[in-house]
Amino acid sequence: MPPSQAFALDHQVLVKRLARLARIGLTKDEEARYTSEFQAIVEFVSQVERVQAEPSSLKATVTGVRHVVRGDTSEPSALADLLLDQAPDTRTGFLKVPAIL
Amino acid sequence: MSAPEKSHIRSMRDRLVRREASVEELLDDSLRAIRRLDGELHAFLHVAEDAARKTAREVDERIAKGDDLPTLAGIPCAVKDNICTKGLPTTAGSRILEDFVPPYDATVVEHLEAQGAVIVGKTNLDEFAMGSSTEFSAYGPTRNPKDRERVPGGSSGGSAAAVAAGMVPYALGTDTGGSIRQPAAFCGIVGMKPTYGRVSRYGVVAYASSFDQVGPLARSVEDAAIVLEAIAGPDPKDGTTLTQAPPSFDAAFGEDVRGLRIGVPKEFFPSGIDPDVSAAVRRAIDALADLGGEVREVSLPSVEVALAVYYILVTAEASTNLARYDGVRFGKRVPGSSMDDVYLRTRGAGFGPDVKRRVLLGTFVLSAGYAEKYYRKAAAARRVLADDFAKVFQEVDVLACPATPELPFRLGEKTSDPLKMYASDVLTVPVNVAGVPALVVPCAAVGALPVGLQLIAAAGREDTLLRVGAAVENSVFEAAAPPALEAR
Repeated sequence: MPPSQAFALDHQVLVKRLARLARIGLTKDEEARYTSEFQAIVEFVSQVERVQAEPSSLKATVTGVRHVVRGDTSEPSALADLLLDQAPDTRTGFLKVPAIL
Repeated sequence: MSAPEKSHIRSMRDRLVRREASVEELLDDSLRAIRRLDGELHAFLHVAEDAARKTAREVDERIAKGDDLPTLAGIPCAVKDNICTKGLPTTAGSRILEDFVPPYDATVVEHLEAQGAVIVGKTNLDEFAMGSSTEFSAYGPTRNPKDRERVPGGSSGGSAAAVAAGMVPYALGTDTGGSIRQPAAFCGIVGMKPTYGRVSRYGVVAYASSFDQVGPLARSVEDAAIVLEAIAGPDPKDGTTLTQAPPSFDAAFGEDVRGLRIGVPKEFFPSGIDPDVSAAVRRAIDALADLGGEVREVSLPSVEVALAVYYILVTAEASTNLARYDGVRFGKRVPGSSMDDVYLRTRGAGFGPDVKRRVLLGTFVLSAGYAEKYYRKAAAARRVLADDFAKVFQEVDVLACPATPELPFRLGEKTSDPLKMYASDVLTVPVNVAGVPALVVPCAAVGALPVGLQLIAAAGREDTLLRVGAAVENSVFEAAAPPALEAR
């Protein structure tokens, strides 16, 4: 199936859906611009279909480096208050956000 | 070692040791150059004069006491603004981090500070290091010191411009798909992307974690080696750092290129390449052959899809890495009627156009129904490409090719066409896809515009890159002297 056919879906709907998934509010202008660009970008990355390789197991690393994992232990950190100071809004040592429910 | 006058770090250090200048005077030279030039170039986002002066005075005191000081002690430098510096703003070129002041240092910054390096300021970049021209900085573009109508490259364009204009002798950059090497080539300086895992990423604002590496931009190959040696090494805070300690690079400067097998990969001279760039690079390779290098043509067939593989994998990683900017724990928050509304408004207002574009693409290639076809296919293709590189390094010791397919382009030339901008990285991204190291050294000038030679070696063989880079610097091409720091 050629890439253009694979993307016979409505690009405006697609861009809207992706923005929603990524939690990015787009202006009408942005939405129009990304919609007009999206097909060309997707066709470009579809070149990857030319490579003869089975889809990856996602475990492979290119450098062969094994991810070194630290022990699962807690330790005191002087950073806690400093990190809390970075938050846009806090109350009594908690991050404060609008009601979720 | 290469001729001492080529190392700006060593010559500054000599002045300090001989008491011809104080650290504070070196800092003042640097600040004066920034004041004189940066109004137009805009290499810096923040100049940290107070913190720098404090460090400078401390190092001056240690010199007065006769302490034996590390190589980088008292030498001014700059740090790309996506690398966390405790107490200094770190915006990553984004509005969403406009007021962010990290409470901790990146490991690479700790390494510099442990040596007594004087960090003069933070340099401009494309937002979140996503870009090839520094035009996608939320704080305005940087200009190329060689021609101010042209871009310095990106995303480490601020670091490259600061070094090329003589404001600092070296700077740190980051390279996810060419962000150290392409600006180094465009500004006529040296830049290295180390082997993936050679340098800690702890405290570096994440873009695509399996690609990102910190590296030096400098005015000589030896300076790049000095800085790499200072920042490299295993770090318990970054589980992907290589476990073995980096080698000493001194030996690399004692050897010439005689007998070295130099591969010229034909895929790195694509049909659309600027003929001036390709001719200049071929002349430099001929010069390496004259010096005794055994030059042969080689092929890496999978390189032709590297750019597509790259843009699938990095946007996928970016879309997840940037999920942390949600207006809850740090950075900007735009108030909204519900939590969801806060996310939409904060990210809508906080991210710039190319960041949004990449997050959308990354969300697409990872989404149900498309992940198999794009993300997982690209991950498999990455393995094929890494194997192609491993195979070629059984035949040759180093690859020599252009760093960019073009000379520095004009501001505004590519900002309206994302695919054109992405194509600017076509010769640098294969290196990050494969995780191998690469060095860019200036090899020619076309009028005022520099051309960079890219050298690529097998994983862990930065020493080979430095050896060939030093030969280019010593015997092939003398880069024009950068505007000297203002005479005192």
